[in-house]
Amino acid sequence: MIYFDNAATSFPKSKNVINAISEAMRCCGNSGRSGHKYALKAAETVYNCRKKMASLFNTRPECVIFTSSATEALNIAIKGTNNPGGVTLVSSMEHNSVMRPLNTLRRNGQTVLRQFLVDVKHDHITCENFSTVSNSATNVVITHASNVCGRILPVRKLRSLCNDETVFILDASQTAGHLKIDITELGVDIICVPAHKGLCGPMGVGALIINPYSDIVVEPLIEGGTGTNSKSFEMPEYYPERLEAGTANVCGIAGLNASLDELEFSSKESELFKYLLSGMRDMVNITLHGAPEEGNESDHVPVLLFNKEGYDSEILCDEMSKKGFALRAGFHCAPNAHITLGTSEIGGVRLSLGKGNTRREIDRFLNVISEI
Amino acid sequence: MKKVIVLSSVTYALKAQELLKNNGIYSKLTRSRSVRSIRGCGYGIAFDVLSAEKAENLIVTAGIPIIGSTEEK
Repeated sequence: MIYFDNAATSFPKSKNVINAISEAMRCCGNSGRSGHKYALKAAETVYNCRKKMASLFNTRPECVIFTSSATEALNIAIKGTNNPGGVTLVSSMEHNSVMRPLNTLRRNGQTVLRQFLVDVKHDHITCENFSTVSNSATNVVITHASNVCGRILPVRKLRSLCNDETVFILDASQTAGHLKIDITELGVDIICVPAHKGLCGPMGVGALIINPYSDIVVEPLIEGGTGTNSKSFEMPEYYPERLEAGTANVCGIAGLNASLDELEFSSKESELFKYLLSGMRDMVNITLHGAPEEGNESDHVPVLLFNKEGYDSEILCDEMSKKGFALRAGFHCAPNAHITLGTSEIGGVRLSLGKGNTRREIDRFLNVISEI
Repeated sequence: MKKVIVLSSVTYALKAQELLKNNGIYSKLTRSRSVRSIRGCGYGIAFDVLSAEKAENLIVTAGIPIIGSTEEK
């Protein structure tokens, strides 16, 4: 089967990732809970991964908080920094991992939710739309790139349009591992990432990354044991333990630790994406949604949304699955993104490239999709 | 005689241990009784008492919070 569902999760995982998980299962105790060799092996594994993540995103190791997913990281970031009575601003491309926790805060009267429209063709219009509402925002939560159409948002520019006091949270679920992300350069307070997508690690691990120059305080969402200061009933004041109650997924973190060693930023994926687009644009019965125009491919991560005339997206996806292609149809947990792209009634089929895809696979896909 | 510096977490203990190692001071992570007496549960790094002043300076300069310190045989 040809795997084109990398925006859901990267596949297959490398042998080194699988071996690291297996080794952790055999050799690791509970990180941060004791001084014996198994606990220390676990603590060192987690710390090594923390250092690599810190280096990747340009922060300090203690500013990397491990979670079970990007969704959990976003929930902690959103609920742990919410200003009661404040205004939270989101883009029109957000995933439900952002919208659902915010909707709960809104329903409970803990925030006022506002949205700005993303223009998938023009960054300056997106920025104009943002600036009309950004003055009132106490919190901003935006995706770095849409999980539906891959459009990258102009984050640095948007950050510059906010007050310094505005808490700025970035959902980098679709960009981590695809783009080089420097939290200090972007100037955002928090970045949330999954291990299993562009970083090519295992499922079950995510991270909340804090800007080392931010004075933001994040309140814990989950409280419990941290292995330190056990006589106190209060959570520690310091990161990462303040936000890491309970036993860490050491095996998953060991897998991420291995995948980070293999991480490369190359032009291969963007070249494949250009190649795919050049083939898809020429097809008369295919409609692309939110795709870049020729020459603007670098505005996107390699995610493409399309529909084929006469086909429901789910049926087309099933047909393609029978012919050996792994895609994803429907609404991709991002209803507002589909409203923005004009596909809220029909949904679409998403094709997302990963590091293992080849030109030959795209050729095969283009042949099959045109003949189906 | 060993000096034990108690850090707020295993993350900071490992960070301090790496810092000392890079500066030629070899230390061992410990959850000994002297650590417990200061912190309940927690981690310290134990090293030769003769390196105490240099080690403490390195850790403080790096911004790693020290919870307490003690000596043990």
